[in-house]
Amino acid sequence: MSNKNPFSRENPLLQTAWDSTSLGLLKTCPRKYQYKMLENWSKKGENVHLAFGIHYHSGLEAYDHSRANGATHEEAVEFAVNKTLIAAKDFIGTSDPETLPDKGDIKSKATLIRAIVWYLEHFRNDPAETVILDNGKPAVELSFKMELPIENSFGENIILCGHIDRLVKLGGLIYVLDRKTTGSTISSKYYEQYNPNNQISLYAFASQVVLPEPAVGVIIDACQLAVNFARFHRGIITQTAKQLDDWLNDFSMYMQLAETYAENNHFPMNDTACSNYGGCEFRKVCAAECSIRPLLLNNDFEKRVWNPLIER
Amino acid sequence: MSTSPLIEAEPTSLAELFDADPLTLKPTDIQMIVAELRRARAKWITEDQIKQSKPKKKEKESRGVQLDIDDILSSLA
Repeated sequence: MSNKNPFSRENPLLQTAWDSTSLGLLKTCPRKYQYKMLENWSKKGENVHLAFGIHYHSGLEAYDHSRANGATHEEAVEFAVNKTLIAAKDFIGTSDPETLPDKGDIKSKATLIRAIVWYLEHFRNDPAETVILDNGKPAVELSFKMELPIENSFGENIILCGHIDRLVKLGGLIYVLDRKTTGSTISSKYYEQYNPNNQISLYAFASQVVLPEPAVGVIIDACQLAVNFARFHRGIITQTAKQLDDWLNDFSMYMQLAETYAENNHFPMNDTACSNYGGCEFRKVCAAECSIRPLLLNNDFEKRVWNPLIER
Repeated sequence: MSTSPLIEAEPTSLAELFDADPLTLKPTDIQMIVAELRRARAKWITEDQIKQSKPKKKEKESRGVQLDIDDILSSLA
């Protein structure tokens, strides 16, 4: 599967390779999907949050690889810190005054390294062990692509893509482990957002098919980032086979919707989602007169391509 | 025999280490970063545990003012 084009050869507005990010956008609001996935608009400054997340994941991945190669915990922590400092050399971070007034730098190089070191201290004696694949490599940062028995009207198979942080064995059972960062306090309520959840269901579904041993659930290691601390918590989400069948059935119907929008070159707004999660980044664009929307997009947004087929 | 005084170098701060070119950092610098962050974590855990163990202010206020019997009797005197 060497083709890196996630769109149909017949209709460039019709996506054929989907990951949880693009699927989530479509489900939330087709117009938002159009702006982000088809026109590649991203809010200026969003890069910082994306970069922080990438460095955080890469740092912990470095630790996992190092341990799988026989390093001690201390050696692996130092390796992870060193590698992250090098990779994040030009990372400036932000105090993000619009969303965190007077709260200082929550996403900076210092808080990044602190989050990594504190995570590795919190989970120093982690009972969840990284699975070692048949090729001897640790099951970390696994990208997957699977062709589904779902076709569009051009006979093109739909591909499901994703990227698993880590596969672990806990209590003799296999789990997908996903690491998340948040600015909110982590409570049992925090984990309610993950069931049902588009990304978690996609991972759970994919794990039944692409892994040599299917995962029984998804472990979420959540990190609450604050100016002066980082706090960690682990939750486990499981889904039944019937729930995953339901998810796939729904996914198939969303693919039909995506094709309808693409055929008509019209992606309708879901104007009930505009206020979700503090407000959609495109709310001002959608609220404006149609003729000035391009101006607002050019002023407040920048171009960044999100391709589900590109392995991270 | 003259002895040169020990000049204790000012310890490099964490901020300086983060600002330095990471390719110039020595293993001891990395170890210091890790050690300092662990110390900060231990300090925060202690402070957080103390904070969590304190009764909430609202709970105290809702109990109202509790009068001692001596207070009541002395006010009647």
